Amino acid sequence: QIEAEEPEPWRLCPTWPPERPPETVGPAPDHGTPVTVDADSSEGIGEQYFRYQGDVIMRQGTRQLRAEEILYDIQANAAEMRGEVDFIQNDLALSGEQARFDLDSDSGEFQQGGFRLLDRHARGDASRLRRTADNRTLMDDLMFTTCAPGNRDWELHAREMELDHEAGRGTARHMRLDFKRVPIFYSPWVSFPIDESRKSGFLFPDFGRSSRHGTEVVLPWYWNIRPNLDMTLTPHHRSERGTQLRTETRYLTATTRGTLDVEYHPDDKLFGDDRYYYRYRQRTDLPANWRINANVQRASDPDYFLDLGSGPGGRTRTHLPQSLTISQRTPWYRFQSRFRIFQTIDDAIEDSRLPYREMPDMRLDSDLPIGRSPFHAELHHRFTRLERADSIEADRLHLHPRVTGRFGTPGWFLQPALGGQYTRHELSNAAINDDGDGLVFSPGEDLSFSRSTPIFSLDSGLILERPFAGTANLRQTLEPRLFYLYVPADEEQNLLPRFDTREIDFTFASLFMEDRFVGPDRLGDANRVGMALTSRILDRDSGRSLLSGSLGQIHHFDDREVRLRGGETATEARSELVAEVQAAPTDSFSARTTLLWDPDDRQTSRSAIQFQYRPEPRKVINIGYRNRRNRLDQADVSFAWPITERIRVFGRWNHSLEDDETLDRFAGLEYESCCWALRFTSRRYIYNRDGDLDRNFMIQLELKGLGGVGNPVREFLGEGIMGYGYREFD
Amino acid sequence: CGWQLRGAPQLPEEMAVIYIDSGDPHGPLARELRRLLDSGDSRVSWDREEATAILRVLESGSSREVLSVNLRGRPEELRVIYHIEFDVRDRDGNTLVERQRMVLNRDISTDAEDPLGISQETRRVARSLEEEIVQSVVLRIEALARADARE
Amino acid sequence: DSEELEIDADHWEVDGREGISIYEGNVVIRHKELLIKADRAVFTEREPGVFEKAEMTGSPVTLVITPEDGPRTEGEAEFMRYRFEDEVLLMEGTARLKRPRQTLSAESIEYTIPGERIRAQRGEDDEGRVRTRFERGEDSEQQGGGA
Repeated sequence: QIEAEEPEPWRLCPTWPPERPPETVGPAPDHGTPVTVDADSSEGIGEQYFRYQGDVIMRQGTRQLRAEEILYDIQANAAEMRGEVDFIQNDLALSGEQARFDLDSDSGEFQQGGFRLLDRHARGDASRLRRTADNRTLMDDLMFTTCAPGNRDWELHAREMELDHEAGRGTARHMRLDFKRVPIFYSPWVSFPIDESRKSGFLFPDFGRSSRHGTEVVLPWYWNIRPNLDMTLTPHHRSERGTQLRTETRYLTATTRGTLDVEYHPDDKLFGDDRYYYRYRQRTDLPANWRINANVQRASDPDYFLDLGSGPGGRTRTHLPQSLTISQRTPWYRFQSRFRIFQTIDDAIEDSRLPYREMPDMRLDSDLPIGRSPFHAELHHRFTRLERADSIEADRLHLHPRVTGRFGTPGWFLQPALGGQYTRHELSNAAINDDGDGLVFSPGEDLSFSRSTPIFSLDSGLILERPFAGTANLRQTLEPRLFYLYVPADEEQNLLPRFDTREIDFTFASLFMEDRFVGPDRLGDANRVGMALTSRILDRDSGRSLLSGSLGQIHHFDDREVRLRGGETATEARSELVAEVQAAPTDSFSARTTLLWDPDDRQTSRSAIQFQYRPEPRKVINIGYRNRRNRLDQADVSFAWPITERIRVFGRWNHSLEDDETLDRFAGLEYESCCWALRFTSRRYIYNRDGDLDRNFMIQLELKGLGGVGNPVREFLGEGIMGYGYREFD
Repeated sequence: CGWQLRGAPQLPEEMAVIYIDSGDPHGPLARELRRLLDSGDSRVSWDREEATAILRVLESGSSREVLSVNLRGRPEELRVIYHIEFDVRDRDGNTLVERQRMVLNRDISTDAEDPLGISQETRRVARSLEEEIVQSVVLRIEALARADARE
Repeated sequence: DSEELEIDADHWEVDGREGISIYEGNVVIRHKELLIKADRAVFTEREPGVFEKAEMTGSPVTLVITPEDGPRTEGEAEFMRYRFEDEVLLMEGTARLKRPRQTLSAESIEYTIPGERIRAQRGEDDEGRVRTRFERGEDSEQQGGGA
């Protein structure tokens, strides 16, 4: 995938800023930096004054002052300037008719001055501009905009503004925002970024209507409290419900990084009560590579995200994990102890299916080379205490040592592996049911199970190559691979309840895994061989794979006895045939397809295909189809396409063919100008578990350069893949 | 019909002795990189001082994203994404291979009622993606290091 | 009064009628606080015994000014003219004045001894701009005397 770089925001503006004299870029001068003055004429007056006239340029290091006339007081190192006065230093350019400047303290005052922030494409003017000694610029009665000179599309007027160049932040008081000279927003106080250091700043007001919430207005504020502490406050008013306040606070210290999100909605009229959601995440690094991670969150009611979450991503959250993790990572081992519980916010899940609490789940994993030999040992140790109300609970110990080694040149490899698993369950509140094929909840009774099972696998493969179609730089590969796995059956484990174990979704990678289950409650018995053939066309110059295709299948020599509750013995001799093809012939076109074909009932059990055409970061078309037999049958088309240099249309259509229902339909128009962009978006999506539809229409004004935390559309387009935007990082 | 076993990666002589700088030096990624690079005329060494080139695994990790939802709004499929960023520098720090970012992903079905199981499954899928990506990393290094050496 | 005037030179020539005297070769002129060295100097009398002006040329003409209370100043130019009556020294042609922590370069510099007033002008082509350079430093107070 090609990383989409952000398009140049100012590409629609006339060339600006005026090129900046290179010698004015760099660290500020100090007391010792010499001062040079070029002029048409100079006159020494008395002991300490010099009058310069005629396009006078006064330079001290990276600071440059220009004027028609400068009176320079050598002792005070101060300059009185008159006539087309200009001051440039690094990013800040001030101008005016008359000014006074003290070079030693880097402070001064401009009357009727204009200013430009060259890096921010920002400009403005003020009745008075003052440079203070601590690298701040204060302005009175000012206008601020990022529009090109002469373009008054939007202007921010304020009584006072302070630019703190050290903190990279601007603050304005009594601010009025005019769009096309019409006042659209007033705020007694606002702060915005004046450097690129952090995404922050006065965010964009959103206005809209939705069938569920009526009129919606979103007014995010950004408050940069201190360099390592900032807060975003976002009042979100919905006419049918009332006003919700979302806050996100981020802080940073030498060892700790944390965010606190608090959302509160007093008296939600449709819900009839107050509602809240909070989430506290923190990571603290301790000496000797120890680390503590906390993730505590809670929602006031199960439907919180359905009603108040933003966009379709909100409803995909069914459980809110809350965890405290203590971990240590060294080159030799990784230790982690995690206490984790879940708040289940999908009320359709009955109690018997609620997730167990891990109190804790402790893991110690290490990879140890065995002397100079090509073998190494992989040691996995895990102890988990699983608790759940009115359920069978367990203390579970799981050890999985394994010795393996991969031999061979890049052209072939052989990897024998011999391992074993010892798993012990100390169950409480458990008894064997009457027909002896499972356990039943019976308070006070204890049971214990243990098993130790050897695992043998032999992985082998060849990588054959030849030039492709006679070209010099293209190579074709042929990569056969065989993976034999033998695990004896231990049927007693079939009795065990399922705490956190599941049979994984069959994919191409399953061919080469040592267990068809994930989680220690089951170890899949196996006597099988996975056979696969992969072929790629590689471009030697770029190292990229232009086309790659894989085909594979598992052949079983025995039936599989180990199963989860309710399953039966698996007797098929062959797994589904799995095929994966990925093509990226050019930088702008890519396609991928996955196919699972069931040889026994001779039909596809899973198919997925997706095309992406992305000639430029802002131009993308995705066409996708996904099908899982009697579970999922969806088409997913999305695009973002500039019609002209200024107008862009985008949209998405995610349709379930099986039920002939549209899951998500989204259409948007974006008009972009030099210094602002306006987006109209209309969306219709299923927002709750009963399949009810929400139709909303939003207008979103982006004032370029005033900063912003990424607007909804950019996040929505994301990597160009129309995911549901709710991404979790492990 | 012209097929022959893939040979060792042809690397410029600056990469004669390679040190692999990774947060998890004994983990599967570093091990497989060592096996593929430790062949032909280049050698992998455990001693950073001895190395003529340093392969730095700058960032690697996995994430997951809901890919499709059903009519009741519950997630049906997840996309597991594995990303890795690396570069290669010679002894005195100048760049042999610019910082590269490679991404591999695979879609799996999900079960909205089994967060514990799904988080274990996504971790296993991510590990298998990590094993699959190593071969492409070596091919990219071979292509770019050779191109750089040619200039 | 021109009595404090001393001139040495290799070769001296007088044209009594015009009141012009010409000195050539290693010309050294001392007058009040000025010490000027030049290749050639032409002195013109307004009336017998009273000098009106002196014009010096050299490659370049060098100048040292040592006022009783001020800092020592050095200078050079391709051509200098000194008017005795108002004690103004005009330096022209890549003129340069240098004093501790300050250097001044211009196409023409006018130095008036009484009051130590200095005026500089640029030439026609653009390199000839007036340039002043001030060294700043810890003891950045100037020892007086506008250069």
